Amino acid sequence: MRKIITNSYMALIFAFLYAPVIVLIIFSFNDARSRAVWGGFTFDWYRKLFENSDILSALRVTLIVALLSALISTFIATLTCLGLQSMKKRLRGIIMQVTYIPNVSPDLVTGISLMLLFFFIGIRTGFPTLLMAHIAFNIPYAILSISPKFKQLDKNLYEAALDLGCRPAQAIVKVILPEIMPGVITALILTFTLSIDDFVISYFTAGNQISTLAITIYSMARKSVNPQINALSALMFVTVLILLIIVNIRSGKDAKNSARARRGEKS
Amino acid sequence: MRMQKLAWPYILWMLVFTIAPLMLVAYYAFTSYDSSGNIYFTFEGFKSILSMESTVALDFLGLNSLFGIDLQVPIYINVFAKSLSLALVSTLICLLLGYPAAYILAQRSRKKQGSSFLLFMFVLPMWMNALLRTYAWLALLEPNGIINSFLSIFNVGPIQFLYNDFGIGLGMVYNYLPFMVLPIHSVLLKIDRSVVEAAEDLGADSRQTFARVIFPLSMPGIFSGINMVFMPAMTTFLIPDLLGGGRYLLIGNAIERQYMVSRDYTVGSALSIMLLVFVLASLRVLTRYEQDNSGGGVLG
Amino acid sequence: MRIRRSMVLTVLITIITAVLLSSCAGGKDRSKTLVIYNWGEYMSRESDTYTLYGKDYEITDVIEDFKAKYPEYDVVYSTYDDNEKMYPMIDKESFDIIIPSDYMVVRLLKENKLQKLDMSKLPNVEKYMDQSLASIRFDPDEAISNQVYDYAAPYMYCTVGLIYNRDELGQLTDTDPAAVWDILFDTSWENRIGMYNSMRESIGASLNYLGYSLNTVAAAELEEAKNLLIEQRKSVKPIVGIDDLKDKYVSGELVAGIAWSGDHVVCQQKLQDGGQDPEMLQYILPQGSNMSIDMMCIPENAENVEAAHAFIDFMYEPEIALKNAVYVGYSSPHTEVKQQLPIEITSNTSYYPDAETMESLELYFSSEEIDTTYDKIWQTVLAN
Repeated sequence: MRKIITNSYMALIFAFLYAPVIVLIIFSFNDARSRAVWGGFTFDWYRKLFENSDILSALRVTLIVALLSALISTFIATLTCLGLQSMKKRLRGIIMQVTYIPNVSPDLVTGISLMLLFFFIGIRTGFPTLLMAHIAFNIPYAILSISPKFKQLDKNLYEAALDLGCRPAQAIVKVILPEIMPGVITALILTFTLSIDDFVISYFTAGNQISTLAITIYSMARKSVNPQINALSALMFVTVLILLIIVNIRSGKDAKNSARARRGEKS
Repeated sequence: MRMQKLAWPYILWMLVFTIAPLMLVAYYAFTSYDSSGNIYFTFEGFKSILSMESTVALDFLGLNSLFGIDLQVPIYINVFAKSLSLALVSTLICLLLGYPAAYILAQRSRKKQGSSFLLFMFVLPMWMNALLRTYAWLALLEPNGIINSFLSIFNVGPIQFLYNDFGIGLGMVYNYLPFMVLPIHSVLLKIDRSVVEAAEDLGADSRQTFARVIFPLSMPGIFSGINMVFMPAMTTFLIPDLLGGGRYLLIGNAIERQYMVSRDYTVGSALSIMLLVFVLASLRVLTRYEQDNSGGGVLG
Repeated sequence: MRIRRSMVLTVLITIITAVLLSSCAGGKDRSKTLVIYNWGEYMSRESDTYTLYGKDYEITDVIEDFKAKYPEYDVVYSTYDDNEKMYPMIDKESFDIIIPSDYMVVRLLKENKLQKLDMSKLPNVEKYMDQSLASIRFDPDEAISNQVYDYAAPYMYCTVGLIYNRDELGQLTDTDPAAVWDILFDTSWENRIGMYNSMRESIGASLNYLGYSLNTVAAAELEEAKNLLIEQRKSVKPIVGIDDLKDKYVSGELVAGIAWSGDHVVCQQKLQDGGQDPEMLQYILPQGSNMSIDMMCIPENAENVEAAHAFIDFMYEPEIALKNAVYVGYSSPHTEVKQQLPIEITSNTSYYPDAETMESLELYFSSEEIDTTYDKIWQTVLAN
């Protein structure tokens, strides 16, 4: 009895979560502009989508910004975490406090404050401001993903490497970097996805002449019913699904391997 | 390790991209231009938000619409109150819907160690663009949309789901429900089995175990869930824009409009500061509760 | 010391790639780029065949046509849905072409934000512009009114009236504004009325309904119009939008609403596409309502004036102007296009007002007093 209740509850929740997604996918094949009538099966919207230069250029901008901002913010965050280690506790505390600010303040305020900054300095909004804004909101997340790895790091490792004749750079690259690598990779993935998913901050900092996918979707969705949006969502959903399945399978394997390794150590 | 210098670029970056922008919001909130372009200090922004020149009946948690209390407040205070009541109600609904879901998910993943398929399915829709998922609700809820077409078979409707509090609340619950479920789920997972077993050994039935042991121990998850739902719900301008039929002005839209349309940076910044202070203050209250309640180190 | 050198190197490499990549994504050569800022859905941007009253018209993406004729220019095209939204943007960014409505042109003109057009570079405009538009008064001040065409070339024009569903409301014939606009304020149409998310149209219809001038600054009249709009938002709960409303009229979700005449043509087109009777949606123009002309202008801070002139003139090439007129559905100021369009459209005085109809219509005026008082009213209406 209990099982039936919990099962049907979960079924309802999942229906709620998936209903719109399924509707979008089904209607991406609908040969009618209307959202209520089924006019037959078609691939037309997908074809039109790939001919739509607005969407394609927005996709390009989105990917370039996501890639660059992920790389740059992770890079800066790694340097910062290295630097923070040798800082006095008080100063480090203050820096970490400030780092948290963008995380706890609403996107809306972050976006507006950056827009005001660019306006104040007198930079015209466009690709550079968009990229800077993305780096700015990504860095805190990158730092928060990497810094825990430093806590787990054995401080003596670095000293030991130096004692054994490594130059500082070698010590970092050969000893510290491999230790914090999982954190760095998490930071890269996280910042990349955050950047792709962002709408609000891009909306305020991209200006009028450049557009990310989210901004394009926003202006399309506010206009007429356009089944190209359905096709786009279906594609994005399937892409994410495949990516996540791959990641999950891989991490599952990793978990198994590391579990096996750990067991090996013990025996 | 003497590598302090490596952090310097970031400190500089932080000053420019975190501290300076927030200072600028404050700066614009307190300054304005006169006709010849000179900047002067002013309280105009805050004054016009609080001015009683044009007022409306306060619409907070149904005060006006349900209880007929006619309390005249400045228009922006009303916008603020309307956003707050929608955000509060949506957060509450997220909690009521999300807690059982988190509980069931936690039980499942406890039984079948390692199989996180359900959780995966739960997070999956979150990875799709929020705009698109919200947009999809239009097709479902429209007067001649899917749900109403279905209802019309039984001669019900059409029911007006969109462009009202229901539609916006639904958009919020839909978008933010996972933010409520995930923290509660992870806290529930971390609860030490032996504590639960001890309660059972001491003669507590399952209801008592839940009420006296599990629920109190999951409080930190609830607080961070509330936190993660309330803030975006309070500040969103997308959801009212897409599901509000163009006539919903919540605090997020009001701020967006001030900057992007009216170009009144003074009022826009004053509103942003009000919102920021409010959100940060409520966050603080919540974290305090969270700390008070997390004794026992459940969070680890 | 080695560490610093390698770090510096990596930073440099990252920055260089960033700059390189960003330059190919965003920083196009500005002198070869034409930046256009237009109303949404206000230019033919797709290839299709449109059928108007049994006549087939081929349309294509006119921006692509422009690029084919002027391969040296790259075009950046973005859109807005409200004059008031466009206005702040032109200070923030540099556009080469904007297409504001008449009163906004006057406002920009008064604020010295427009460049004079070089007519020697616009032979098509000279040749094809409809002279019946020449005598329009854009501003109470005749000196300013006379200058408008030195700074702006008409793109499309339209009237503001009521679009309505004939199947539900029957045929309306009374053009008295009090009778026509009454439907907007009729509470029995809760959730089924469409209103434009546009300041002048909303306040204007309300003023017209009450029998006042569209440009009144009398406080009592404006207060009345404001309260009417606020009351409407509460009791009639209109759906507010711009382009998204058209689909809602076509699907029958909305029964009536404020509409630019061109939107009505587009809606009929959509009905026909869907295999429905295009006559289901009708349009009625109340007396004393608004006529507006959207005009192509070059902002003061434009950076590619040469290309801008080429573009304006290109828009007046008969073939291109016809494609736009067919796609957009608004009334064309192009004499040759008027010949090509179906007589059913061009002889309809609601779309193409004759001298007598034009006399009864009012243009919006712009002055500092009007702009600020109307904006204030609009803010209050929106916040309700």
